[in-house]
Amino acid sequence: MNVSNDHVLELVNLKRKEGFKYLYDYFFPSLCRFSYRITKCLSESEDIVQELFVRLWKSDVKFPSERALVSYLYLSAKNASLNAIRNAEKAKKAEKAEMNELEKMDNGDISFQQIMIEEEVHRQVYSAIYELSPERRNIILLSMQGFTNSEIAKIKGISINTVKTLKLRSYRILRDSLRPIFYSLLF
Amino acid sequence: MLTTTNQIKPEMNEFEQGHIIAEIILAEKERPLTEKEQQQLTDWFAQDAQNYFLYEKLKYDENLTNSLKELGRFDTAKAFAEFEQRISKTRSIKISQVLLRVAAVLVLVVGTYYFFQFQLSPQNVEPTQELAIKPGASKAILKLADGTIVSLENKRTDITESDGTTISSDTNSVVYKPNTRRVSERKLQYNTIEIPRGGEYQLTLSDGTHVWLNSETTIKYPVVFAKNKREVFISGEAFFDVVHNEDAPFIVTTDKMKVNVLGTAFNIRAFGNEAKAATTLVRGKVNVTSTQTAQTFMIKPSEQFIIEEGNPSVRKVNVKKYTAWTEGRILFDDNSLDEIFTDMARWYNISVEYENEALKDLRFSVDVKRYDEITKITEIIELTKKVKFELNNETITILKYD
Repeated sequence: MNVSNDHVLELVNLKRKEGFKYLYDYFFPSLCRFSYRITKCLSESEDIVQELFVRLWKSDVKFPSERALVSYLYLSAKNASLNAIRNAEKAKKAEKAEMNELEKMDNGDISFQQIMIEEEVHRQVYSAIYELSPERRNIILLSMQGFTNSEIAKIKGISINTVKTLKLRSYRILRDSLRPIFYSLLF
Repeated sequence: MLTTTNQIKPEMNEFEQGHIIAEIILAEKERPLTEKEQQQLTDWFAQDAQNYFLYEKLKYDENLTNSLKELGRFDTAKAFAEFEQRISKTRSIKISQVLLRVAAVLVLVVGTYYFFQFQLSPQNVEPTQELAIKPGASKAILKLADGTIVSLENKRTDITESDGTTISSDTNSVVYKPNTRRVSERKLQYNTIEIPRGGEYQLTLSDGTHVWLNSETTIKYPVVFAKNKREVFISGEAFFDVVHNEDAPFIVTTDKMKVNVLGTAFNIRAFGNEAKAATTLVRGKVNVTSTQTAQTFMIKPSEQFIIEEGNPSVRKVNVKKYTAWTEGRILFDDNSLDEIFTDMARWYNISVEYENEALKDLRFSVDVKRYDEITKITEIIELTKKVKFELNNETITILKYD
C-alpha cells in the first residue's frame, strides 16, 4: 500500500472516512469471499460485510494493532454469516444446493480458521498489487501465471520493452509493500 | 509487519492466531523461517490434520492468480459509496430535533499571528529525532480561559473549564459538551486552539458546530455562546459546518473579512502571511464583509469571495479544490508551483527554495492523499520534466529540470 498499514489503522481508529475507504479497498473483497464460503450466497455476503462496516463506523471500538483489526473483521463476518444461515429459509436453500457436492464438503470439512487463513493470505497478496494501475496489475498477474515477457508482450499486443518497463515501474511502486516473493515473478 | 511475527498466545482467538499463521506462510515465500516461526507452524499442524494440507496448498498456490482475479471483480468504489450513503443517513438521525445541522461553509481564513496579539507557546515543537520530511498529523494546543495550556496530540483527555463546561479530547478532535445555556456578552469566556505547521485538528463547539482546522491556524471561540450571536475569530484555514440557529447568527471574523453565516458549510482561508484571503461556500448562504472596504457580498454555493491586494470580488469555483484537505486529499488544478508549495510548506512543515523566481509561475495539477509522503507529489510533478526537486531534511529546493 502506498500508505503504511499503521497509518490506515490510525485513520480507522479516528473514524476518518479515508480510513474506511482503505478498509473497503483492501478488506471488502476478502471479507465477502470469506462470508460467501459460509452463506453460499454472494449478495447476502456483500450485505453482511456492508452492515459490518457500518456497525464499525458507529461503534467506539479502537484497535491497538493491525492484528486486532483483522481478527475483529473476520470474527464479525463469521458471526454475521452464521446468523444469516441460521435463518430457516437459508437452511432450506442449502438443502436445495445438495447438488453441489463439492461446496457442501468444502464447508463441512474445513474450519472457519482455515477459511480465514486462506482468504487472509490471498488478501495480503492482493493488497500488495492492488495499488497498481489495471494495466500493470494485469501484467503482474500474467507474470505470476508463468508467462514469459515475450509471451505477455504477444498477449497484450505491446512490445517486450514495454512489458519490462511496466514491470520495473510496478516494482518501484510496490517496493515498500512488495514482498520479495514477487521479485522473482517480476523479472 | 512481516518481520516480527508475534508469539501465538493461548488467549488469542482463532482469527488472531490465523492472522499470525497467514503471515508466517507468506514470510516463508521470501525467506527461511526463524525457529520460533517454524515452531508455531508445527504446533498449528498438530491442532488439526487439515492444517498441514492447507499449508501445502497455499505454499504452491496454483489457485493464487484466480483468487486474485476474483477479488478484483468486486466493485469496492461502489460499495464504499453505499457505505457513505448509509452513514450519512444515520448521522442526520442523531441530530438533535431542536437544532438543524447547517451546511458547512469552508471559510479559508488566512490567519495572522498579529491578529491575535498573543503567543500561545513557542513555535511548534520539532520532533528531534526525525530528519525526513513527514506529512502532517493531529496536533494542537488548547488554551483555556484562565490561561492554562493543554497540548492535544494523540491522547484522550477530559478537561473541565472554570465555568463547568466539560471538554473531551480524543486523538484528533476536541469536543465541547453540548450546552444550550447562553451568557451575556460581557461574561463570555474564550478558549483558543492553535494548530502548528504540520498539524491539523477538529473541534466541536458547544452549540454542535463542527470545525476542521488546518496547519498554521488559530481559532478563538467562546466556551459557551452569547444569546444573540455566536462569534469566533480565525487566522489560518478552517472548514465550518454550522448548526442552524436563527436567533444567534454565526459570525467568523478574520483580519481581512467577516463572514456572517446564514446556515451552511464553508471554507475560510485567511493567513496573515498571505496577500489573498477567501471564503468558499459549499452549501447554504453567507454574507461576507470586507474589513478594509466595508463592502458586503452575499455568496451562493460554489461561489467564492476573494480578497486580492485589498480588492474584494466574487467568483465561481470548483469547491472540491478548497475542501479536499478536510477529506484527506491534496487537490490542485492548474495552480502555480508557488501556490502548491506554500500549502505544502505548511502541511509538511518545511521551507521551500527556488533556483529562480520564474519557476514559481509554472502551473501543475495534482491529486494525491494528504498523508502520503511528499515524494508522491514531487514525483508526479517531475514526470512533466519541467522542474526537479531536491529534498534535504526540512528544505525542498526546486530547480529547472535541465
